[in-house]
Formats: sequence, C-alpha cells, structure tokens
Amino acid sequence: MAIGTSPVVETNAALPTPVKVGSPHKRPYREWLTSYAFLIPAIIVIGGFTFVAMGVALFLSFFKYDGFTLEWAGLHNYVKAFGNADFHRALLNVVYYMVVVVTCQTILALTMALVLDRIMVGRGVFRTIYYLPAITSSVVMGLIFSWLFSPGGWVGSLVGIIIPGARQFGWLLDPGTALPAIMTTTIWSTAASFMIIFVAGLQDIPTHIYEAAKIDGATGWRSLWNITLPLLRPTIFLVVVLGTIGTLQVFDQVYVMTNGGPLKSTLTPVFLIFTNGFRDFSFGLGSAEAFILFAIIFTFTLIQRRFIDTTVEY
Amino acid sequence: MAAVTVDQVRQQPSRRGAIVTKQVALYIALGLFGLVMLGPFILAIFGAFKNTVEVTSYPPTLLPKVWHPENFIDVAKLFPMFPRWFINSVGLSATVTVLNVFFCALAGYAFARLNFPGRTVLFLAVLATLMIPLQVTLIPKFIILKQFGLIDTYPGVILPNISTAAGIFLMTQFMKAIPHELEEAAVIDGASKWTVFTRVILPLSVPALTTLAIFSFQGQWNDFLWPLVVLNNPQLFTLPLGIASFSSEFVQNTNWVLVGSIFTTVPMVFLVLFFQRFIIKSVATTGGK
Repeated sequence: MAIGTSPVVETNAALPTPVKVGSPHKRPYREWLTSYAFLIPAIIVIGGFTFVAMGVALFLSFFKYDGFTLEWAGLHNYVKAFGNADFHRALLNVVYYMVVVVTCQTILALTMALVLDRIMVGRGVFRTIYYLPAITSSVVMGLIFSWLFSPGGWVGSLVGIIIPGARQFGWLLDPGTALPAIMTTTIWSTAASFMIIFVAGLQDIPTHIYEAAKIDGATGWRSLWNITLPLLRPTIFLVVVLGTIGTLQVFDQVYVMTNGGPLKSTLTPVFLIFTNGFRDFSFGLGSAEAFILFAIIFTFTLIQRRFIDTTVEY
Repeated sequence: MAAVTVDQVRQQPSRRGAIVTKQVALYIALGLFGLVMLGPFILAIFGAFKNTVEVTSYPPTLLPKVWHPENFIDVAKLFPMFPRWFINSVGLSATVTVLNVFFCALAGYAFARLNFPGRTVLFLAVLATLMIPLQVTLIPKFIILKQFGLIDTYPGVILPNISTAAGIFLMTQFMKAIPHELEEAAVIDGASKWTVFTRVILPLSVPALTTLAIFSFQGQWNDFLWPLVVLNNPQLFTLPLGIASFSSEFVQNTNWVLVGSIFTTVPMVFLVLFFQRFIIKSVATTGGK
C-alpha cells in the first residue's frame, strides 16, 4: 500500500487538527463493533476457561460431584480438606519444597548473573548453554534425573566417592531424600532462566553510580553489598515471586519421578487435586483444595511484597 | 592534571596480573557451572546409545562400551506410536501457536488502538487472570469441555490455550508504541480497521509476534498436566505424555526412555538456537514462561 501518496492526505494535512484515528465523532458504533469483533476469540477463551471456570469451581466446591450426580455438601469439602492428613502433608511438603527451591535458585541465579556480568568475552555462549535446561520438558528432566538418582546411578556413584554407603542408595525410594532429589531437579532446570532475568536487571543499573562509588572508595564487596544488591531489589522481588508461584504448583516432576511416594513424602497439593479430581472423581473436594491453594499462593505473594521493598531511587 | 606518579606506574603490571587471575577464576566458575548444566544431557545422550544392561549397570560408564545407534530405530519400530506422538506434538504446538498469536494480536490491537466502551474494564479483567493459577481451573475446565464432548480430542487440548492473558498484554504493550501517523495515512486512504490491522500493524509487530510464537510453541510442546487431564487415547498423546506412559510401562528399558527424551528435547534446542536473541531478550523483559 502506498502510504502518504494519495492527494487526500495532503488536503487533510492542511487542516488545523489532523483527523484522529478512531475519532469518536465519526460513526463511533462502527469502531465499537469492530473492536468487539476483534475481541470475540479472547473473550470466549479467557471468559470461558478462566472466569466461567472459576465460577464453576467455586460452585462445585460446595457440592459433592463425581461427574454424574450433584449433591449439596455445604462447607463439607473445605472441612474435609482442612481435616485431611494427606492435604496437611501435601501443604507441608510444598512449603518445604518452595523455601528450599526458591532460596537456592535465587542465590544460584544471582551469583551466576554477577559472574557472567564481569567476564569480558563469551557471555552469549555461556548464556545459551545455561538456558538449555530451562527449555527442556519437565517430563524429560524428570525421567533423566530419575535415572541419575537410581540406585547405582550417577548421583549415587559421585556421592559414593566421599560416602561409600551412598553408591547403591535409591534417592527416590527413601522418604527422606525423595523430595530433596526433586528439588535438585527443579533448581537445575529453572536457575538459568532466573539468571537471565538477573543479567538484564544488572544491565539496567546505571554505570555512573558505580563510578561515583569508586571515587568514594567503594569497590568489590562493598560496592556489591551497598549498591548492586539494593538497586537490584525489584528484580529480586520478581524472581522470588515467580519462583514462589511456580514451586507451589509443582506437579510434573512429582508425577514422573515419585508419583507422590514414598510414604507420601513427595505428595503436593496439585498432585492431590489431580488425584482427587481425576482418579477418585471427587470434583467437589478437588475444587475446594484448589481454592485453598489459591488463597495460600495469593497470601505468600502479598507477604513477599511487604518484606521486599521494590521501590528504588537512582 | 598531575602526571601519573611513579608509584602508580609500578603498580600497573601487578594490577593487570590481578585482573587476569580474576578473569580466569570467573571463567573456571562459569565452566564448572556449564558442566553441571550440560552434564545430565551429555550422560543422557551417551546413555541412549547403550544397551539395556549397560545403561543401568554399576559402576556407570561414561561412554558406551558398544555403540547401539539402532536404539533410535528400534524405538520407532517397536513402538509405532512414537512417530505418531511426535507428529501430534508438532501439530498441536503449531496449531496453538498460530491461533494464540493471531487472537492475541487481534485483541491487542483492539486494546491498544481502538476506542470502545468497556475497554479498561475488559483489559483489567484480562490482566486479573494472570493471578489465577492453573490448578484452580483444572477441574472446571475439564467439566466444561466434557459438556461439549471435547474430552479426549485435539480441540480439547487446544481450546483453553488459544488466547492467553500474557500474550494479549505483550501485544497491547507493543502495539501501543507504534506511531499513529502510519495508521492515519492508511485510514485516510479509506482502509478498514481490518486492512489497517493486517497491512500496517501486523507487519510492524513482527518482533512481538515472534516472541509470543516462540513461547507458545515451547509452552505447548512441553505442557504435560493439561494434555494428561484431557487425553486418554494413546493415539492422541503428545511426546511428554507418551514418554511418561512409555517409561512406566518399560521400566527396564532406560535406554529407550532416553532415546524418547532426546526426541522430545532436540526440536526445542533448535528452536532456541535459531531464535536465541529473541528468547533472551523476552525472558529478560517479561519474566519468561
């Protein structure tokens, strides 16, 4: 299309005020109709599968529903969920998992970003290498690590160099080590994507601040502690929040690596919701558990917002 | 300015030495970290070439004693489902990507550049869904799709993913920044909104469209929970679903499981290598995933 060559453009260009695109004075209803038409797919998909779905979930959480018969249950599902030992176990497990994974992956990602930020050449190559685990399917990751953690596998053999008893140890078969093994798998696969967020955050810090600090005599650790970290607070917040939301929803690795066992040591809320919903067909109970988990995720995000002050002044 | 003092000149070689030592230490740290990141992949690739006994033998061997490249053919031969899963994954990921990018672009255009009643409310509603975790809608989505008879079908997998809040947000932000003059010229020429969208806005939005396309494809390719809920028929499985069921059935054949893992991962590796710059940039700005 030849933009700007039409004589009409010149006529209009001479007007004191150019015609505003989407001017409300010129048949606005047509633009409205166009807008709604453009939004129809999004409204159907997001409206249907999020808003209507939320309504259905809330409705179901007060009923007993197995896919065929619907029976009013009042608060029974919530009472059942709160009183259920499995649900307690799943919540404890996932909080333990969240604390360890978020702490380790944040520290690891930040450390690697700081190192990567200081080298002179080859940044891109390292970044690509580190990024590979992040694009690997969680199922593939789970399967590879199940093999590495199997008795006599690579992890056991490497640890066995120091502790000989560990050689034939089944990391995923012991209630004490199964969840830490899954944590390791997750940290390995997610640390890199958070590192990339940190690298971007570091590049946003104006260099003149470092120069000013250097003149004042602050270098090395002091500059890191007093300048870099405080200015990186919004990025740290982002990484911690994304990590929290992600870890509280862990499912794939558990499904592939341990199926919730041994002795429910790797049972997590999403795994329980899945089991209750799609193996036992207790859709009402599953929905109630989902809402409780939703409330927990929401609360954690709010708490973190209070503790990590994100406002930064340059 | 005073000239450089004798003292400073004397310090320089040692300072340069310190910098070199520091750089070497940094590269060693990065290299070790890289080894940890790549290690499992390397072991898995060698493992895929071993026979069933060697892959789980103790002590583990790094390189296969005898290479078995036929593992890659055996998997496809013994499990005819395998190529099928690969095709399913490609088809579903491509469909979701095309539809999601197109619908998000349409919605983004409306939000960014058109005036209509309820614009702010609708946009905020879209943003609000970013806060809702997947598992809250897992059961109701299943029940809704069941009412339409879409459980155990491809549309059942595709439908909930063809308009995403994050995608609409990305497109809206990008399209807001396109200068209005370009659009005005087309409007004055008598172009409809549709023409403006397809001829002016879409070509200018290629960077954002590419970013969204990569994330959609990657997300759909690796998605596990939703296909697991929707699909029962192994004919319809995606690769992650397929190898998960495969691995629980053939616990002894770790080498085959590793072959399957490689088949699942390699397409993503190519995707990343081709679109590296886009991915790095967008992970940094959107927080990824």
